[in-house]
Amino acid sequence: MAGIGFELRKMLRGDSFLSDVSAYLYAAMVSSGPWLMSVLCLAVLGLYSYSGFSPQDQDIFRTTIVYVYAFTLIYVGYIQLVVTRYLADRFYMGDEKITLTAFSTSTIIVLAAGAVLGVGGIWFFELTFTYKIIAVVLFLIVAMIWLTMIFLSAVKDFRSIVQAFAVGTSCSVGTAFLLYPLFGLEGYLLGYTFGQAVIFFWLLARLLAEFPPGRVWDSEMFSYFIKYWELALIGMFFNLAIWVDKIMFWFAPDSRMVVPYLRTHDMYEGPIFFAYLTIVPTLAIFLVKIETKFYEHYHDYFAKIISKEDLSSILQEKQGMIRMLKESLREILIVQGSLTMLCIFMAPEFIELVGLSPLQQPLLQIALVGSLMQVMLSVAVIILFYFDLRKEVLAVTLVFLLSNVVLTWLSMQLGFTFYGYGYCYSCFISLMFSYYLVSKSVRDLEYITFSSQPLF
Amino acid sequence: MSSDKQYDVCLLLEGTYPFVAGGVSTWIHNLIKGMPELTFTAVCILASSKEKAEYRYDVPDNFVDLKIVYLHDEVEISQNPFKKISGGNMEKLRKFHYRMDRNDISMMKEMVELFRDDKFPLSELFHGKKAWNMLVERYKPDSNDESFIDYFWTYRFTHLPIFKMLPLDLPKARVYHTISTGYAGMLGVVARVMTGRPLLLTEHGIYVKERKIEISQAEWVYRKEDERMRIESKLGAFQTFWIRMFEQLARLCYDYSSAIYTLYEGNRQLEIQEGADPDKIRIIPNGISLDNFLGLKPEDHDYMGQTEFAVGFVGRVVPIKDVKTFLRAVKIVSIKIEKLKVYIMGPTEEDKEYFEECVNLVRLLHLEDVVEFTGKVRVTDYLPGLDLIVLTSISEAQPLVIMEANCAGIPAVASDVGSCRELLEGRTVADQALGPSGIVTKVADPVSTGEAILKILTSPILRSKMSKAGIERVKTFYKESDLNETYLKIYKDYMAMDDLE
Repeated sequence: MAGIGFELRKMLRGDSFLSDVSAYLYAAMVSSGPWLMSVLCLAVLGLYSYSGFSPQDQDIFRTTIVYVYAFTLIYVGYIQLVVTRYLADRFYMGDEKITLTAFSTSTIIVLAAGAVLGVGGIWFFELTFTYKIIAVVLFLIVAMIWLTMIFLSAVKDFRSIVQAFAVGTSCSVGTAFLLYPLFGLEGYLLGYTFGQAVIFFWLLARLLAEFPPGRVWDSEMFSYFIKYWELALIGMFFNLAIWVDKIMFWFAPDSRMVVPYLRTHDMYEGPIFFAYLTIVPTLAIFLVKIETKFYEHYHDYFAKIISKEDLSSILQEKQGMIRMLKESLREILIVQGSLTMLCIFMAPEFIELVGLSPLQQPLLQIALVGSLMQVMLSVAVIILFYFDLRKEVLAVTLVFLLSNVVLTWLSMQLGFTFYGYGYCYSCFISLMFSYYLVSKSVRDLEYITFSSQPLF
Repeated sequence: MSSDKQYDVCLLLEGTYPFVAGGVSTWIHNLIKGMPELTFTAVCILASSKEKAEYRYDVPDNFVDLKIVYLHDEVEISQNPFKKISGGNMEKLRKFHYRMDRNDISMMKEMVELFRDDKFPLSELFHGKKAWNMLVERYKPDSNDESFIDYFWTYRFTHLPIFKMLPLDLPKARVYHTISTGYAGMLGVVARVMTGRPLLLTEHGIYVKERKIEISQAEWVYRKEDERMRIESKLGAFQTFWIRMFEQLARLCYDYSSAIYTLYEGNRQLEIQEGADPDKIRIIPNGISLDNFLGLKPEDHDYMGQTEFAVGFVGRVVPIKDVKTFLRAVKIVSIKIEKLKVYIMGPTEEDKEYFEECVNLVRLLHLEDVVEFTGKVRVTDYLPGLDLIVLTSISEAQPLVIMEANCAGIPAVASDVGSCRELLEGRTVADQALGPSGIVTKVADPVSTGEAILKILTSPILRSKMSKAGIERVKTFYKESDLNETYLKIYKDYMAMDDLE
């Protein structure tokens, strides 16, 4: 994450309004990341899926896509942060040659383990053999997209990412519609998969163009899994925590089995996904703030330490950083809060617009609140990451995961009117916990900075 | 490690015997060799295990089970969330520091015991919150404008070796004997506190003074820019930090030592200055093995009819030996004495630039035919042919050169440093009664040095007297076997002593 700042500041230094907007847009793209992409893609397909699709086929397809996104995100999570850290360290040492080597190594891991997982996961679903094969391919391609994005965001090439997604998503939608009349559901999925493949190869081409070829296997990367085991756990469990309430609802008593054993929960998923879209502005604003202004304070703070200043001027700099953090958080809360409030009031109109059931309105409203919490939680986590407090982030992640499991289960027991509250309260609890850790860490910042130094 | 074996004497050594050759090491070697009836063991403090520790001496059979401690080796610190420093103990550590700042060492015993009971785990001392708070407190953030990062690292570097050594397992011995203050001295304090056995201290050079010189010259200790610009009289805050620590270590060692031995009066004064109790200090000069030097100069040497003279200078050609003053003195002498030969005996490659300057000075003074740089040679080969030994050092402790000259019956002219005066004029009344065995001159004074040389060379009776006085002096007061006897008696006395409180 820390890598993006420089590019953003460069853009912000250009005075034109346009460059400001593009910086914010890029920021939104990168920060909201994969999650947002998946929701967007589904929304597009969901809105335009009228062309003679049988409801059964539509359900199978939609559920497949949701499953693929959910499980690829969780699956790739274990490698994501570790590789990011590895690249950042290597780049810092000026070793950019390692990029493709690390990429090919992680590709091998992701594909090998992913193939086993994908096949194992889909095998028992009652779907045609062809459909299963295409689904596994889609699973691998989407997993590779997430992986490639990690490497591309390391070089701050956000334009390529946006372009690739724009073109690829269009291709997905286009070819899906094109192939459905010819091959039915399998054609539809194949068409969709093709578009995702376009995204992947676009990103891949960009990556290959950027870096010189290297060795295929990088054994050194593995030491990072041991050294930064917290990152592997955080990556996987944070994504799991985000998804676990949805997964649990697939198995709720009032969920529906599309085909054995592909399950969905019609009432729950829709509002949650839509609510999540509202966090885009926050992520954009926050990212720009943290990566520019906060980064400067952060940088100055350490610069003061290294340039042999006395403690009181170091502390002064820290006060500046705290002030800035508080300001940004207030700003985020105002913007996101107003947006969320607005959406809550506009919920009935929105529900009609996107074709949800009026019954889902309270769920959408609570999901909106939940999303607000979740985005604030991400903010806190990113700040903790800034100070390299991996153990703290891991603690937050585990709290998030456990509370979401427990509270979601509880809300399921309490019945439909309580749906969404589990997720929302889980976000709230994790948010409070993470803010406690952030404020404690900032307060003890110089202690953490100095005392964590190894003796030699 | 801690077997129940008890040794007679445990030496506590820092960077010397048996791994580093030198004056102190040779002294220790001869001491052990001279008392085969006692068993010696030692704890040797070395800088790091990366440097190879090879024996430089053929260690005697009564020197056994030596234990090596590495001062600057990396330590693996395992964090244990259940091992914390209790609030009460932290308060004690605070109080201890406060008192140490005021030269009050009364809490040392308690501290050593707490450390050895693992009440202050290293991980907490270096990574814990409570220890951090104390560090910040001691830095005094409100009034301190020194670099904090340097304060932090200075704190760590100064304290880590101490924290590492406090809980160390020490061999059991009836007497502990440290040959310096500093880290070895602190081990001595720990041994004294934990076992109740007496601690003896022998200082050849004064550790604190040597560290002061080293630290004030060290460039790696950070100093603020504006301080660098000032005249070098004031040391930087971090240099002061280091020196203060060594001063405190010295004070601890002086206080816990039952007796302090040193080579000569000047050292004694320095020790008193650093806080040592004058009543504890006793001067025991070094001894010399007479066999190698006695009779080098023929008994029937004809002092009267001599017209050709040879003068020797023994020492490395480096600034601290002040060879230039010697050369200027030689010029004065060469004007009066025609047949003069001067040998400068010692390695010339240590400070090439300085050597170059000396050679130029020889040319400038037209002494090419008189002065010869021999390089490193065996001094005993030259001694029989010499009439006088000169030493113009700026700093010395108890120079072996003078003792050897005395022993060989060759008069000496020496600058007034270290114990030169004692060696040439006598220390005690009985010693002084033997008469001078040379002349002491002022430091860096070519004229008086030249005059002293002339006085000795041109007066056969004086030379003959000085020769006899020198031989007598060494035989009576500086015999190595006597030195060993003295120490043997000391050891035996303290070994027999009951455990101290």
